[in-house]
Amino acid sequence: MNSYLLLLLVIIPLIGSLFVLAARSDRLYAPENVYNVSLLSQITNIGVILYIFSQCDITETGMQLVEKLSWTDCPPVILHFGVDIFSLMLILSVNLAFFIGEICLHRLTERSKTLVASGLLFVSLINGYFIAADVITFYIFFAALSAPLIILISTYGSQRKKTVLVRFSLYNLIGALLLLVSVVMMYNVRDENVFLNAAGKLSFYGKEKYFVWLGIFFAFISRMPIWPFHYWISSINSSLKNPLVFIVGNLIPLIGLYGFIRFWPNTVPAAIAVYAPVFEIICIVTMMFIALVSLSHKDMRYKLFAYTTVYYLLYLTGVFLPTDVLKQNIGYSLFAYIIIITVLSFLVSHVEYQKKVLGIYGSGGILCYMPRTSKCLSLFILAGIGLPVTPLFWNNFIILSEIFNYNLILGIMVVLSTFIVALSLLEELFRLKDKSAASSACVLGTDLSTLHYAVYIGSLLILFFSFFKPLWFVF
Amino acid sequence: MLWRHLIYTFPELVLLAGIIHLLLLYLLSYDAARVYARVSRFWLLMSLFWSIVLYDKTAGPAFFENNAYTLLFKLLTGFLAYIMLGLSALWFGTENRTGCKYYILVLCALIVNSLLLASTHLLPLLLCYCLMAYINYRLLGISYEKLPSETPARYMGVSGAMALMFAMGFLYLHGRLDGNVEYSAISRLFAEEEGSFPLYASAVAVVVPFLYSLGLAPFHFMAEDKAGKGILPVSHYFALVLPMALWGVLIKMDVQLLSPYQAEFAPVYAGFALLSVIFGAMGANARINLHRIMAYSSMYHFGMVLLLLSFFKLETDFAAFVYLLVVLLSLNGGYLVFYSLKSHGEYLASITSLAGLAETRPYTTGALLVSLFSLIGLPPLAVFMGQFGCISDLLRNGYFISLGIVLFFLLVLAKAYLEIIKTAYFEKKVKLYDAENRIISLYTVFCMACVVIVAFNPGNLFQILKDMFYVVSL
Repeated sequence: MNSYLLLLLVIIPLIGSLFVLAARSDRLYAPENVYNVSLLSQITNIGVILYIFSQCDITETGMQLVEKLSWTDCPPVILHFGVDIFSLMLILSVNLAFFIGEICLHRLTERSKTLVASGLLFVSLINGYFIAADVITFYIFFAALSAPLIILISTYGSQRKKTVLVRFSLYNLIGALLLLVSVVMMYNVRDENVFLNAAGKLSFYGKEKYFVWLGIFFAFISRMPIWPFHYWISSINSSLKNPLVFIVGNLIPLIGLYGFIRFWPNTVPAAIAVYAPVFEIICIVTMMFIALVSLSHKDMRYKLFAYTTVYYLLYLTGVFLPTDVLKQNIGYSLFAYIIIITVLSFLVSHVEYQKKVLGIYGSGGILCYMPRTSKCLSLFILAGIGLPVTPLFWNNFIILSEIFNYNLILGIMVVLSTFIVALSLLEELFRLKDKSAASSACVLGTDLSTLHYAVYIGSLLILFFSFFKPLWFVF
Repeated sequence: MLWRHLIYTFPELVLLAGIIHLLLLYLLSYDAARVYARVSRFWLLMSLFWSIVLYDKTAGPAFFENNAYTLLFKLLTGFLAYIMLGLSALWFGTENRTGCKYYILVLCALIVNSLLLASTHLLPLLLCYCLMAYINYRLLGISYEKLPSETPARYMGVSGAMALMFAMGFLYLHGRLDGNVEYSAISRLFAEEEGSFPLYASAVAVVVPFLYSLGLAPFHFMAEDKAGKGILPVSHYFALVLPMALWGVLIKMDVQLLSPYQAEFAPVYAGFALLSVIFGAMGANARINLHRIMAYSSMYHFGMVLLLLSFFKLETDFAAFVYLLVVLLSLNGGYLVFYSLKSHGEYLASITSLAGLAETRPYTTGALLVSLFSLIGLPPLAVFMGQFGCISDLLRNGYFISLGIVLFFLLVLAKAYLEIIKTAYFEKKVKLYDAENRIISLYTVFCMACVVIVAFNPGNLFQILKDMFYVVSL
């Protein structure tokens, strides 16, 4: 019998989103309802994910729990869903990130219904994207993710960036259309849906193969802040002041990265794989460029964006290596990385909010009077740049060693980029903790609430356990 | 025998009874628009009921033929008309009008559409086309402004020229076939004398008026005016109800009449289709009136439909039909939003009037967003389903350049949609919108649900549609 356990990961947040939309805005208790429904959806979803983990064989690397769903007969399309440990790790991290986000937002936001409903829709679709096991399902969720992105960025983006929104959306659409054409070409080869891992085995006429793979490549590139197209994403991201939306913005490259991971290591034909060094060079140029820009930038949010970009590109470089042994390490590392950027995003928002409340222009020394914020920010920045208490350290070490093993110059450039971006974050941390630069108003700054503090310490504990045993939560 | 034939015409007779009922109400001085709307909808439902019961029965077998295919288009036209009639009552109510003339004309149009769909003979087709042009002219003439508009007269002039062209084609074929201008006889003649230029010209003369009525480039002279100059219920009719019926007629003509000219018509259709795609996308970006943007957007999508019809294959015709269906459903969602855009009792149509809409009317903006996302083809919304089939067929048939053009201009069209979204979300509020009407909200939720659910192929919907559609080739 075909079970629909994996589909629950899509359905639960979707139902939560519909409930949130149905909540009456004019009632006093509406924000409370919206918040509770959202939390309940997230908790249930995390429960389902843990249950799915328990159903999987963690030593198995291939797709597990494959489910089928007949869509249409004309043209005949059957959708397939499946997970492996790598995709489950990503699903868990994204859901945990949103769970942390929901707790930390705690009703204190404008247009909370739009935010929560779109956020849940995003979670639902990204879960679908991670469980897609064939090219059509993959495309459906890949393209559908544009909808909540556009809604969230339109609602919470800066008014000054309205033209950028149009360009960003068009850029996303170009990627989606290219992937659609490639997917349809794959479908037409056999007149049936194609499994992701079988995509590379399809035989195309003449140059069709190049078109299909270039389409796929550009589709995923469109979601990554890679030179020369990095401007739209960076511009959009740095304008997002709401921390939850900032997280969503920071997960856009994850969509592209996951696409590459799913298609690239085993699937891509040898004729295409020879071009991998070209992509690696582009990655390196972008990494260096963004890392250097972050060093000169004064905005903490931009520095965070630069950090996320450099790390995404580090993973992407790992994906382009002619080996598929890194997939699991990238998964474990991404798990920690997503939680770290979530917490950092909220901490940065808290600091910025305090600056706004206190009317301070520069944020020098502001952390001196907020000990909890100071501790959390220091710990998470250190964790983010390689403090050996999280899976990020250990797995990035393996990824970097593989890159060095593959090409020394490439390895040096990657390490240099991560070093520069780490320096940029540490410099900012130093500035925030520099008591000599603190203005008198800093004394009035409000520290993190006990709830937020507990959540952040809890997140750190999760990372700490994962350092020793990545799948410690699987029994 | 006569009784039987009379019963077979029940779907049309019932609509006629509806017209008489409306006239009686008018004579009895009823002045509530909703009464007229209810009566019209009641008779429309009755007509649809009889259409289903008598779906394969025909009153005049020499001229008409009813079957599952005609039923399919009648049902879809009826479904869209039913929603339109319900919403138009709100519009007429706001304007303090009865809308009697409008409802009578719409019921007349539905009778004519039904006959157009059932025609298998050029004579009723020509007569119904002329009638349809006249009804459209009268509908365009419904205006409550003091200054008379030249649009209806211009429309009638161009439509008259098109009808004349049709009549010339008809007369030539009539002469060649000694009066037997049935589709099958004409098709045989086309097949026998394939190289004959006069015959080809007569085929063109028959097809072009329909392309014009659908607003396809380069015959789109009146497409913009039909959407932008008429009152909202009239532009709603021109945008949704009429195209659904006319595409039904055109597809039927393609399959039953024009298949011998496949080689000659294919490049012409493809050319017109690409022109429509280009003009539609560019036009949508150049306009600020929402109705006109929708009209140009339809032109783009109709271009896609025509491009698929250019293959003259039943499979691609069905893909075109699916695309048409989902596009019209999504456009319907857009029109529902237009009905709820009201400030101080005045309906708003300019793109700037959407400024700040998301702030005060998040649900309306959400509905607009769903419609626009669907029209872009974002999965899992309805148009994706059609788009998938279209791209698949274009690739299979080697139309790579056409596909490139279509996709490029889809991005251009998407820019027009994104401008709407940008205005609704980013611009500062300039209007105070009237309270949302509950009926419109219900309709909107229903239509949005349709846009989403159709994409999931509920109850094997597309297989049922396919079975009904394929009857056209039997």
